[in-house]
Amino acid sequence: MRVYMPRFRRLALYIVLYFLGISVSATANTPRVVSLNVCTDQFVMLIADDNQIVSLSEISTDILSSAMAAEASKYHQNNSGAEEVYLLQPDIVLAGIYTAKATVNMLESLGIRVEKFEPANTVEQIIGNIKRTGQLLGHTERANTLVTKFESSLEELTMGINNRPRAALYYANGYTTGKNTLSGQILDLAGFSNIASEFDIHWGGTLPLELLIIAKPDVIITGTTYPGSSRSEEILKHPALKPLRHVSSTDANWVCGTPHILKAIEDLQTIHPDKMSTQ
Amino acid sequence: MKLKIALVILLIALFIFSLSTGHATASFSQGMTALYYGDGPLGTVMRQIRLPRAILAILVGASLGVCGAALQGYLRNPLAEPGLIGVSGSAALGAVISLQTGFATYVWMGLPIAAFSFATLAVLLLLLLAGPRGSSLTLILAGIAVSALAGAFTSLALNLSPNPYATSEIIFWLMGSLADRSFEHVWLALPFCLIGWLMIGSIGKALDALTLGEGVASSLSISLTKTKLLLVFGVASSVGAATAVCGAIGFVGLVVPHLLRPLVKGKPSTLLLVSGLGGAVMVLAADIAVRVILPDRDLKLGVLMAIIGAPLFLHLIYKTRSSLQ
Amino acid sequence: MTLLTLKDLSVRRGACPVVDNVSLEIRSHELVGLVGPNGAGKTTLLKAALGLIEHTGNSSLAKLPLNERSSTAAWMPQEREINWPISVLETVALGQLLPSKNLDKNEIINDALNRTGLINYRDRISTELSGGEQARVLLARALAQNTTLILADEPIAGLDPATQLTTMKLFSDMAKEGKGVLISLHDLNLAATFCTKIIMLDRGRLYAIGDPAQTMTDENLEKVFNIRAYHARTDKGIICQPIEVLSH
Repeated sequence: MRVYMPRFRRLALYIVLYFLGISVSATANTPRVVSLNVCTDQFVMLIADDNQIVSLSEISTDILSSAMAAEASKYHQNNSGAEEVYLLQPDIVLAGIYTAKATVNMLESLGIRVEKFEPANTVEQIIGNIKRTGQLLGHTERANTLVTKFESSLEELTMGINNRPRAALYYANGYTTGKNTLSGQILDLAGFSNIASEFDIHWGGTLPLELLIIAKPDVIITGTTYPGSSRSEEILKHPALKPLRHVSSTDANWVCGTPHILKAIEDLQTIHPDKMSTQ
Repeated sequence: MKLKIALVILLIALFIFSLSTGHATASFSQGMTALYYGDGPLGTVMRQIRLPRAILAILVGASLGVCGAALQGYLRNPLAEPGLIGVSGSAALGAVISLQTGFATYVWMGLPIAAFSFATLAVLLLLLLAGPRGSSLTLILAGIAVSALAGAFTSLALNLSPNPYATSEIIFWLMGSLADRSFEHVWLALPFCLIGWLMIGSIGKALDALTLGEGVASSLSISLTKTKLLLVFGVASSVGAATAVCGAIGFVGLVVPHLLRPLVKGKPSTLLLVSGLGGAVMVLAADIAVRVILPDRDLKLGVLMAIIGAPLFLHLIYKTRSSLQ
Repeated sequence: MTLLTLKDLSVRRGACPVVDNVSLEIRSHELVGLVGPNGAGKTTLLKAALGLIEHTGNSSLAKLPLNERSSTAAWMPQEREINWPISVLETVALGQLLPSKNLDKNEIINDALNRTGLINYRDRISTELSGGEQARVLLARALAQNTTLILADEPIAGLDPATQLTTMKLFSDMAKEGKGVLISLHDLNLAATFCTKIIMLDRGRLYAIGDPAQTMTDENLEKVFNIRAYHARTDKGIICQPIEVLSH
C-alpha cells in the first residue's frame, strides 16, 4: 500500500522541520545518512564523515551486538520507525534486506532513498559492501583504502596454517552454523575445520547434543550468554560438554560482515596450534 | 501384586528403551557397554545425557501419578490433578521467578524451594476454595483461575527477563520437556520428590478412611488436619520439584489413576503406589514417543499428554456432569 | 457399665443454641433412640458427642485421644457415602483399616458380613449395589469396627420395611450382647418397638428420657411433635403409630 501525502502537508512538515533547526538541504556528493541496521551502522561509521551521519540504529551501542558500540554512542540513535526516520529527513537511508518491510516501503513511498544491504557472509561480500557504501556516501577512495588494508591484514592472519583442528560453533538451543554463514567463514579463515559440514549443515541448524559429543570436536566455540536466565542457554553449560575443550564465546565482532571480523579471527587464533607460537 | 510386578517390568523395559533412544547411532550392546564403562564420547552420551533424562522421566512421572491419586483420594473427586488444579502452573511460576531473579543461582536448592513454595500456596488456595470435599465445579473453576493467573505471571516474568531467549521459553514452562536435562537437575529434584512421596505414602490409610467421609474417617482415629498438611506439603514438594526442572506436564495425574483404579478395585491407598509406577511408565513412554515422532524438534511432553489426556478429561466431565450442577 | 457420658453439652450456631445443655448416659445393653422433630438437634448432638464439631460441656468420647476413638465408638453418618468403586469386603474392612491381604479370613469381618446377610456379596462392588444394600454394607462396616459403642444418625431412613426391621433387630441384638447403641430416627413406631430407652429432643433441649412407655405419652408427643398417636401393646412390643396432626 502506498501512502500519499498531499503536497501542502509535506510543505507544512518542511516548515516545522525548519523551525526545529533541522537542515533539509542535500549535498549531492556527501549525502546525509541514516542507518537502520547494526551492520550498515558500522560501514557508515567506518566510511562516512562525522557530519554526514544523522542517526544510527538503536542497537549500534549494544556491546553484545555491535563491534563499534563505543564509537556509536556519539551519534543520534533511532528506533528504526518510519515516522522518526522521515522526520530526520536524510538524503539516504541504509537498511538491511531484513529490515522491517513496512518501514522501508513507507519511507520509499514518502520519497526517501533507501539502499538495502545484504548481510555479508563472505570476504567478497564484505569487500562489496564496503565499496558500495563508499560509492553511496561519496567516499570511494576511503573505501578502497579500507579494502586494501582489510585484505592485507587478512592475508597475514591466514598465512602459515598447516593444521586444521576440528571445531564446533555451538549456540543456545543446540544451534550450530555452517560454512556458508559469517561465523562459519570466520572459523574457516582462522584455520579451523567446521564439524557442521560433517553433518551436512552448511547454513544453520540444530545439532543435537548427543551428536556433538559423539563427533568429539577439538574445540567448542559457544555463543554469548545473555544476562538473566534461559533454558535455551543451559545446554551450553551441560555437564556432558565438560570433557571437550571449550573456549570463550563469540562476541560482537562475529555479528556483522565488516572488517571487524579480523579481530574475531585473531581472538580465535589464540587457541590455534599453528598460531599460538607467533603470538 | 501382579499389577505391580507388571508395571515394574514395563518400567524397566521402557527405561532401557529410553536409554537406547537418541540421535547418536549406536547398537544396543554398544550403548549398554558404554553406559557401564563410561568410556569415550558414547559413554558421555549414555551417562550424562540419556541416563539423567530417563531418571527424570521416572521422577516426574511417579510424582505426578502419586499426587494425582492422592489429590483424588483426598478430595474424593476423579477430576483432581496437579496440572488441572494449577499446582504445576504455580510451581513453574516459582521456578521461573527464582531463575530470573537469581535466587536459584545464589541459594542452595533455591530452584526447587521456590517451586515448592509456590506450589504450596496453590494447593492451600485450592483447598480453601474447594472446601473439605471438593465438588467438581469448584475444583475446575478454581483450577482454571489459578492456572490462568500462574501462566500469566510466568509469561510476564519471562517477558521481563533481560535474556532474549526467555520469552520463547514460555511454552517450555507451560508444556514441559525433558530434553537435554542433566544430573544437576536430577539432584535438584530427587530429594524433594522422595520427601513428597514419603509424606503422601504415610496418608494411605487416611485416604482409605476418607472413602466413607470425613466424619467416619475421624471416628476411625484419622487426624484430618495432619492428613491435610501431609497432602499439601507432599504434593507441593514432589510436583514442585518435578516442575522446577521439567516444566508443567499436565494430565498425567488424571489419566494414570483413572486407568488403574478399576485394576486395584478402587482402594485409594493401593492406588498410590500403583499410580506412581503407572505415572513413571507413562512419562517414560511419552518421552520416548516425542523423540521417535519428531526427533529433530523438541516436541513438548505436555503436548502429547494433552492429546491423550484432554479427551479423557472431557469424558470424565461428561460422566460426573450430574454432580456438576 | 457406662459407655458414653454427656455433661452439659451445648452447641451454638452464632448466638442460637442448637444443642442446649444436654446431659445423659449410655450404658451397655442399651439401644437408645434419639427422637425429635426436624431441627431438634439430633444430628448435631451426635456429632458433638463424637467430637466432630465444636461444643461446650463434656463428652467422654470427644475427650478421648484421637488414637483411642476408633476402638471406642463406631459412627454411621446420615449420608451413606462410599466414594470409590471398592468391593464389599474392602468396604467392610475399612472398619479396621486393614491392608487388603487375607481379608476373607478375618473373623470380625466375616462375622459382620454374616450378621448383615452380605457374606455372598463380598466380591461385589459396593457402589454398584442398591441403596438398601449399600446401607447394609455401611452397617457391616460399623460392626467390623468391633466397638462397644455404636452411634448412628438415621440408619433406617429411606430403607424398605423389611430392611428397617432387620436393621433394628440387629441393633437390638447388639445391645443384648452388651454393646451400647445410640441411634437417631424419625420412625416413632420402630423406636417404641425396639429401643430400650428413648431420648426426646425439643429445640436442642432434652425434653424427656426414659423407657418408651414413659416417654412416648400423649402429652409429650403433643408438646414435642404436635401429633396424636395410636398406642397399643403387642407381644412384639409397644406400638406408637402417629395418626393425626394437631392444629394450633
